[in-house]
Amino acid sequence: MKIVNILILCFLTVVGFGQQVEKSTYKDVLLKGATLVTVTNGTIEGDLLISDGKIAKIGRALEAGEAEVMDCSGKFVYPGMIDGGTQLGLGEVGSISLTQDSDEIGDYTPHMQALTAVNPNSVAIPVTRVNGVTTVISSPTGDLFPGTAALINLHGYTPDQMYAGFKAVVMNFPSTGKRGRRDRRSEEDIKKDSDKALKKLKEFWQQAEVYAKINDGSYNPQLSAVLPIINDEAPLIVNVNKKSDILAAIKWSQEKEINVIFSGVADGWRVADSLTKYDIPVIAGPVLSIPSRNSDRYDAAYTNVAKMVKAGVKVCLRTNDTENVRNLPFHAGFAAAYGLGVEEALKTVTINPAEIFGVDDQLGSLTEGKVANLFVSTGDPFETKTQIEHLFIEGWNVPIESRQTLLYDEFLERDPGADNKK
Amino acid sequence: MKKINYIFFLALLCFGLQAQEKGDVLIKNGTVITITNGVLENTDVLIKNGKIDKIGEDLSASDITTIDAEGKFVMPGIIDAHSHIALDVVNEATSPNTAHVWVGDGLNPYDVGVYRALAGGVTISHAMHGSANAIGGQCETIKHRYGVLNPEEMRMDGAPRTIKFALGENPMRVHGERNNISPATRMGMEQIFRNAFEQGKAYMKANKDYAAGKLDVPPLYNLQSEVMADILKGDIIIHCHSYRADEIYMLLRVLDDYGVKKICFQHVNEGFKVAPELAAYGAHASVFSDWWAYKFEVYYSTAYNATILAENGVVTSINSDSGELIRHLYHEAAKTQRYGGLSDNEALKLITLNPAIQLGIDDRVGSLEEGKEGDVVIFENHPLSIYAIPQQTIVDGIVRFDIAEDIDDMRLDVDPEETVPAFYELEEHSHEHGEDKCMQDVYEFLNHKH
Amino acid sequence: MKRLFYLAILALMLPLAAQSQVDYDIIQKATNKIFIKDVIIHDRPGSTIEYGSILIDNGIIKQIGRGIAEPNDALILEADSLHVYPAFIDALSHTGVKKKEEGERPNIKFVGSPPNMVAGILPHTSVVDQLDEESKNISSLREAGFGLSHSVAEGRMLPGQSAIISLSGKPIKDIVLKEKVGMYAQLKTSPRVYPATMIGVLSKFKELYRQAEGASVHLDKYKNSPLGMQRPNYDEAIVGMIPVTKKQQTVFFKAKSAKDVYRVLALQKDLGFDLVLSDVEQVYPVVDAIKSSRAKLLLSLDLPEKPEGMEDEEEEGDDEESEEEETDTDEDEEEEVEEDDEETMKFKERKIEAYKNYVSQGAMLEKAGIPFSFSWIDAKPKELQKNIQTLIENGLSEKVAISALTTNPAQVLGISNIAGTAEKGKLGNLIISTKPIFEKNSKIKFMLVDGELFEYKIKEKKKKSGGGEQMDIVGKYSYTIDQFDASGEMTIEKDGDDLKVLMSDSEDLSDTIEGTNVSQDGSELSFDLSVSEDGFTMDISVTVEFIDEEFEGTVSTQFGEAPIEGAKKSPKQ
Repeated sequence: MKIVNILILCFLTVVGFGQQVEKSTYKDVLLKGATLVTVTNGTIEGDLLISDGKIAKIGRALEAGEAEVMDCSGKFVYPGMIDGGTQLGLGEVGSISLTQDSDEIGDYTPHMQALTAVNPNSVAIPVTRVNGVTTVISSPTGDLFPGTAALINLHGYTPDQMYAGFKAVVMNFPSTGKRGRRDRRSEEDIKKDSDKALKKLKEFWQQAEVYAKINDGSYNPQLSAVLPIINDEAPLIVNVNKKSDILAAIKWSQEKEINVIFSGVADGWRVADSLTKYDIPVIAGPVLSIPSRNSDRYDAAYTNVAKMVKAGVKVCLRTNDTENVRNLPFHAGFAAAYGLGVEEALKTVTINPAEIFGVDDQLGSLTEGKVANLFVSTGDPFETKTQIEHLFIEGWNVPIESRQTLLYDEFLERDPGADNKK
Repeated sequence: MKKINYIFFLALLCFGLQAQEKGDVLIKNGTVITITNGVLENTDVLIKNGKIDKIGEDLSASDITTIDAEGKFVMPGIIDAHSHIALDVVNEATSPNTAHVWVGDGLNPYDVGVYRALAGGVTISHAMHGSANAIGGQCETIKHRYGVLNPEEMRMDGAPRTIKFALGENPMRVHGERNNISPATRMGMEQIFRNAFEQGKAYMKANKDYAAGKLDVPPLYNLQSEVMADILKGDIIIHCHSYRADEIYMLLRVLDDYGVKKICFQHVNEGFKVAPELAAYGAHASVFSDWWAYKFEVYYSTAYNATILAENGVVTSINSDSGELIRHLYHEAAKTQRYGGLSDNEALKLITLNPAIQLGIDDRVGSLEEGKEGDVVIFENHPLSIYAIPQQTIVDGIVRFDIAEDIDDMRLDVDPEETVPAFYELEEHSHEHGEDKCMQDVYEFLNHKH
Repeated sequence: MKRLFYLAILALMLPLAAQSQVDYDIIQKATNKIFIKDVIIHDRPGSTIEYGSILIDNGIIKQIGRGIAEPNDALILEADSLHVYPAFIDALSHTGVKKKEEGERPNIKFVGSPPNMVAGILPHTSVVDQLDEESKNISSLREAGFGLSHSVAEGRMLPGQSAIISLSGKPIKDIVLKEKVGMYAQLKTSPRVYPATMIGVLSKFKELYRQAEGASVHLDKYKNSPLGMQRPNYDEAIVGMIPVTKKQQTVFFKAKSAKDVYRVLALQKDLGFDLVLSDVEQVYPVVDAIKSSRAKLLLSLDLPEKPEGMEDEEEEGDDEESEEEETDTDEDEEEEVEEDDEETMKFKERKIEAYKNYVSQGAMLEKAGIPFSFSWIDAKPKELQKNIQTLIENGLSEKVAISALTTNPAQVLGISNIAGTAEKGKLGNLIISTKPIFEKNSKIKFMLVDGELFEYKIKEKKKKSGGGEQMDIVGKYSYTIDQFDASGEMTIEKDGDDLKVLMSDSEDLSDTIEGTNVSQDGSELSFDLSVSEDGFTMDISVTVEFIDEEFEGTVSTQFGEAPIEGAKKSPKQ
């Protein structure tokens, strides 16, 4: 790694600091002699050919042909990891509101498109992908219907280049929990607020159903945004955490006869049977969070995923983060350690999200014909010390470089040093 | 049986474990990570009366709690050099200088966060004042004796006094932006420190003059000046919340002018840019593993910060500043292996010996050595592995966390009038508004202009 | 009802005009002597004089014991076989204190150094300046058996010096028994100025104390020889603290939680002042610490509500629960499931455990041999007796309970020589009750305070216990709230199984509002009213008790309380 860095350092001195100078390349590559962790088809010692942006072939002793050969002996290849819920690209500097694009004003803004506001040049994007996270849901935040989330690949210069084939309206189910440690509302006030929000939800959905029935194509961006849900063409992502709220949300979605994906689901372990019974997939996390109640076991959030998976719930993970989505593998690692096991944990960041978002024909495993979103690592990507050495997104060979690595390269041995001399 | 356990455990917590009580425990056949003397396979650690009595093979003692650590990893209790758990108050945000207040007056031994920290192997934390003021309050080094009810018994007796300083956006926002008083800039910040040190100097002189009989009456007692004087005397270690390289360098110059040597920079996200200067001054650095971008002054950060600082010879630690991160500092330390490839021992030093040095308690804790205090954590899997799970956490020879004995509800104090314990939604990405834990209690200030 | 809103604000927020000099509404007494004969005298804790007599002259006990000849110039109190106790002494409360108005705050540039007034640092002031003999608490506390109150001002960190007042209801100049009794202190912060946090309060206290010590040295030196010496010119708050540093004045430090007790004990250890831990609500975890500190203790009479579902003989809990279930809407069905699971049961257990700890505190202290008195900052006077009863039910002996209400507070307040027991020469402040005071259904018939005699109607409760029979109170009533100068009509109607209450104002009978949260318990009715005007809402809660066709009770608002009374209108009206 240090040698690589020194090489990069030499390179940098030529072109100057601060630019993303090393460009991605797009050509056929043969990953040779690797341990291929396919996720859906076991672990294979062999080669993998990337061609035309896809995984063209997996097997032993593949012919390179025109492809560049990359010696991967002793290395591991994994499908790119997928984060089921982030604000990546929608926010740049936390405290500066004018750099924050996730929260539009208004209770009913399902038509707000995350894909519109994702900044392809966000500094956080390279920071994230060099840890092997290739694809994320970027989601609006805020009120009852904050907007439409989109699945994006972390490479490209326009939203269209990044779009990975899934969008869904997001809803925050009215909560009967406290908003945070600073929430001083009494139990009654919380109940009142949540009743108010439930009423709003009821009214909105009533209008949407009427709109769907009339079906006259009149211009109504709010209601038309949820048409695909009512017409059973798309699922609704529902943020919900507390046990009683989850049960209420299940009841609501059953009444409305719509497909839902629950997100957050901190109390999922308390109602895992209900989630299984109604076959509701879950975007769980963050795994690295404190328990929701002071009376909960200290590891409630660590073990939540394992308990849901054991009960038969289909689970993928989310970090719910913006700048530190790079920690997705560590969230998965903690879930693995606390009952889930490595194999299942790997699924929660690869094939499970791909299936939940209906893109498992494209993403989520090392399978011939799928998009070449994958990375080469020195080992288990959940293990903290593992290094990611090569990264491919839609077949692009993306340099393992971000502003954070560039700063390392510049400052590890600063010139001039303290004595102002070389 | 579970219920009996539960009641027994609670009773034990409430009445059994008193004060600075010291325990005896024998940990058998573990892989002992000493930090200062390498890794010893199949080794026993004997703690007697709260102190490490012996480290060696085939140790025995009669009538003693024995823990079988075969196949497990035994390391010194983790130390967090920056935390706000066990505190009822974090910020007295009323003045750019509040050296006179002391968070040690507001310790809260009932905070279940202390237990959660124990469950992450953390035995000592530095309970800090917040960063609302250029000179914040004095801090307190606490031992995680979860179960004691007297705040006094949380203190690590004899640990050196420390104080919080803060640079940059937080104090500028609270005082400049809200109250329209200096400091509103990083220039103003420098003068706050210079004024305060001058105030301390003048106070010391006045007291000296009175003692020498040059004055008829003593100068009016002033707690703030007392504290400033104690800093000048070297009795108090400064822990300074800081981010940008320029402000870090500023404080080094000011401290140099007043001959103040004991300084540990906290967060210090751009410390890597002035690592050689920090090393030359002997300043310490206590950093986040990877937090960045939650406000402008941390936008140009790198997760390689700890590595760069350590490689440049700065005594560096990884801290939490968070009730969440404190539960897995061992993992935060491991990130220096991904970002910069530190060795196992270098990485573990960041959460043991180095924070101990920064808090001035390295002669008592921070490594497993005979004679040091019996603060130990036992891990399933290597502590730097993502699969590491703390099994037992021992403070002063007393097992305060045992994964096998853990019960769901660990609250020490229950309100007879509450219905059910409140459910807290995850705070939507608490950094979104640029408010780290350091700004606790300040929120209301920022909202109410008077 | 809008008028009521204005009247209430006027009445509660403006001080009342002074009374005129000559008042023919007051009867000039024929004698200052009162003779109580053939009573059972509980003259001090654990001691009884069967069938003795007491002669009180001008509020002082002249004679007490058996075989005292009946004087012919005294009022003879018919109290045959009743029980006499020395009147209780309330060891700390806000009794008689005017509600402070939070005036407009001056614009403060440096919030780190606000004026003393704004910071609430007023050790140089006295509660006497804030007394109001019209305070309703005086009469209701007297009705609960109290003759003296140790009164402290409301406020923040250092609200000022306390005073002992007599609950005779006489003019202020006559009710102050003793001034500058102690320094009242709290860990209460000042919003948005220093000290804005509890650690700020502790730091300020320490600094002020040390400054007062220094100032005291300076002042003494200056007094001896001022020549050539800098003139002492100290802040009044610093000077106000000097008696505390010289141990001439005790600090009554309010510390509700165990945590706060530890904090205050640590502060005391650091500075060394004389300490009375005051209004402590959570004492059970700190019994040992209090014992070894030797600080004196005032136990709060504010007890937590009994948790729902806790078994008791009256089985009130069951009724409440079933009521709740009825009012639950469909949407809560799922929630109900949650309420019943194992985890919730565990929470309930812990709550009950905690409750039991609170109500056994009296017994714990008794067992530990820690003398204590009772105080009540946050309780309601009406709850005091009930709460003492609860403590006794949970193991506190009657003897110690009586001590905590008589001899102990007298001792802590330094008035043992004049109060606390019924003996010759002491204040003739007496309780005369129908049965031993803590016995079930014992009622106070007379109170003697400072020579004034108060007689109370013994209310025949119409089967209150058992939760079963509700008094029939349906009908039209007239009501008056003297303090608001308001009156009108109150209509109680049946509404299914529930009651509906309508309140209207006499100025405009059509302006009617309906009460919410209406509940009846035997002869007691309570409901809430909400009156809005100009976007400002006043929440009023009303509790009244019916006796035959009359009722009396209290209306409370965020500004204060006022008595309400009324009677049934005859059908013709």
